[in-house]
Amino acid sequence: MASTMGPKASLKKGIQRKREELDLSAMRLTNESYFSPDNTLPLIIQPAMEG
Amino acid sequence: MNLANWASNNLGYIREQLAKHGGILFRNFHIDSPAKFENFAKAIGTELFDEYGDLPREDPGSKVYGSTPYPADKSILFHNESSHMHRWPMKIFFYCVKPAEKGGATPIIDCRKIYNELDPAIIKKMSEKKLLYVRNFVTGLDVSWQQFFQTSNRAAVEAYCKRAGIEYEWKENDQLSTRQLCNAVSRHPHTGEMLFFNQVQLHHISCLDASTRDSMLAMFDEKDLPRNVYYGDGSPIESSVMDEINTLFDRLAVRFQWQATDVIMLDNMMVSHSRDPFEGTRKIMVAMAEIVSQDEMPTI
Repeated sequence: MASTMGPKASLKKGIQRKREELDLSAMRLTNESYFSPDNTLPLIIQPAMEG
Repeated sequence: MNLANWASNNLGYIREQLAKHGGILFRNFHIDSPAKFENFAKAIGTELFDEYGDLPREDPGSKVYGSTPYPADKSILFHNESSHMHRWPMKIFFYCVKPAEKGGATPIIDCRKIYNELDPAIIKKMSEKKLLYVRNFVTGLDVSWQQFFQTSNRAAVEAYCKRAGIEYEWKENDQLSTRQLCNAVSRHPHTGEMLFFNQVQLHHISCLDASTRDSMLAMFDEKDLPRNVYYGDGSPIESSVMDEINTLFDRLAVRFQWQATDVIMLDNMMVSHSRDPFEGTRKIMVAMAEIVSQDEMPTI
């Protein structure tokens, strides 16, 4: 059966829907690495994305 | 991505990683000016040190220095910055404006490893006797006393020396000789780890390359050499000891090729640095932060 909800009601429902939480800790802004796995000096930190 | 902003928002993480690794290389953040380098160093290092007489200041208004002006074909040997003085920076930053065409790396060593791997008898003797750094400021060689103390006023120099526990003696031709007793090993004030923290390789006459050493000894009596180091009681440090230190340093040294815009931050107590010879032009800038003094150090 097709929905009988009008466009305004649909929009309202959409707005009322709980926003999805964005886990910022999961968004890695940097990458870490080493020159050699045997030596952790220095730690190398680089941007995860160019720009 | 703005490195200074990122650093400001991640200070806890950066401090934690620095305490663990001793050094962090920030690569591909496009630090493309001394001002950006200084901002980054300030963001991490709080107050930058701007009273350093052993390095040339890059710009009168900035707290950034040029690296040590020393002949390109010679090595600058390993040292913890200012560990031959009564106070030193906890953090030191190097910024690569332009890598050399060939060579010119800034090798680094973990001073915790040196302490743990050096013959315990050497550690014990150096720890007990300490180190006596002797410096003769000779006009035209190394920095002058006026540059080092940033004054041409002898009374100001004497007052500084008294505050810093430096013995001094004025000599002929406006020359100055200083002697300073310092620890050879230290305990890290934050992590509690033991460190081989000194400038014994940089100062010991035996560590100069043969031609430089021979020239120096032809020009000066040993007591008048521009720089030298002894045990704290004035007795010479044995060649066998220096050989063992040099061999260990060679084995533990970490080298990487600079890329333009690289910045490396070192815990100056945890990591010793040096400079390889190079060809072409090389421009590395330096900033230092968080000055601490010998009095603040935990007991060994």
